[in-house]
Amino acid sequence: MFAPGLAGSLAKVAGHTTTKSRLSRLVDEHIDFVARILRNAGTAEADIDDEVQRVFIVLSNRLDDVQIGCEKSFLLQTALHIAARSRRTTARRREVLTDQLPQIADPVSTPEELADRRQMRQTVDQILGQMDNDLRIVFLLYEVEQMTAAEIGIALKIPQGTVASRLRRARADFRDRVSTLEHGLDSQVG
Amino acid sequence: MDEPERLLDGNGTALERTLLQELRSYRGPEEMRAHTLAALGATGSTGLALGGALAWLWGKTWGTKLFLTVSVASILVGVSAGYFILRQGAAPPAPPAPPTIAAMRAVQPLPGPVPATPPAVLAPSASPTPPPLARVPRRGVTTSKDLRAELEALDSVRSTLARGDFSGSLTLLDVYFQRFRHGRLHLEAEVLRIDALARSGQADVARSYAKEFLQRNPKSVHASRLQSIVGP
Repeated sequence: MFAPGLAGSLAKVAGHTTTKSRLSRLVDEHIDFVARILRNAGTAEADIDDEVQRVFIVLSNRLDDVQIGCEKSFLLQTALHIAARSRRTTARRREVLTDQLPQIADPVSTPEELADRRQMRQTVDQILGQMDNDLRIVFLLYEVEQMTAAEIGIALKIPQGTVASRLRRARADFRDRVSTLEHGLDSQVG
Repeated sequence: MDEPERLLDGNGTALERTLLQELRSYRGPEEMRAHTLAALGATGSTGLALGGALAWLWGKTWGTKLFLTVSVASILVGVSAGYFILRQGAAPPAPPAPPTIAAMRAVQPLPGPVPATPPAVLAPSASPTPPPLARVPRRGVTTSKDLRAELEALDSVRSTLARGDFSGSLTLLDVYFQRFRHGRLHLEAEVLRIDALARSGQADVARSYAKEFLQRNPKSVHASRLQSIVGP
């Protein structure tokens, strides 16, 4: 029906259009997830906008290799990789550019202060920051992202038994730290 | 494997649940989506591509196909360009008209770097000073509607660029900077301008702007792309 060149051009146009609409849809579906993973994995708030773009640019460059249905897993792995790099960069920046200590949430803030959103964020950042990275990631995916152990295993490419053991240790660690915080609050109120 | 009940589902203490809820409720910056779409160039031009494809299918001879394609493309670009020109409330220059360096400079509000090499492609009678990059504040008070309009404007630029109409895309960028003086996508627009300059054969000018851009934004997500223009 068409000349071979025209058919090729039409196929290219159709392919390009499909790619664009797929990317657009993936941004709509997963941008909040990606931002949350980056932030909760330790990326500074000021860097979130740029790092989210980086994650999706990586996806865009590799889109042909990513199977339909596996995009969220790819985005998760990319976001974790970028968050790790971002944390290292931030740590280096602190070491080189400033002699001030990073701001740390007061462990014995009053309940009223904890109600303040910012204080809450600092507190939870501090708790997560003290956790082992592997444990923290599994903990976040299970407790915050509500993923199943099987999904986490597939996404992180680790056996399900490892997911279970990391989750158990992570929960114990998190609960210990929150409990310490609660005792601090109680003793201050009391 | 038996999965333990999640802390948020009632297994945790009040403080644990509150802290986890804080983590779960995180949303990124408001303009994050627009920036990401702009970085990916993933909006708008779908219509242009489809229109062009239909025109090819419809035409019976090569001449008709070409004519219809050009017509559809002109209508789509004209409509989108006309939309944001009308929104300006003034009578700006017609976007599709081929611009000259002098005309482009006339609509540039602020000065930029001045590379030594004169432009190679556009109006030979023009002065060697290239059109400066607009240097206006990146962040301003804008609504999501404005942001959408910004995205559409940049998408028109991208479509024009994809068709190979480099001077047209530079004109559209001028219109963009005029209209969105405090726009949120200025960095993306600057990258498009550098791209258009490079592809129009003004490699030295593009390189100079890219260097200046990288000095201002060394950690930009566009850095690696611009680095290829700047060269080693």
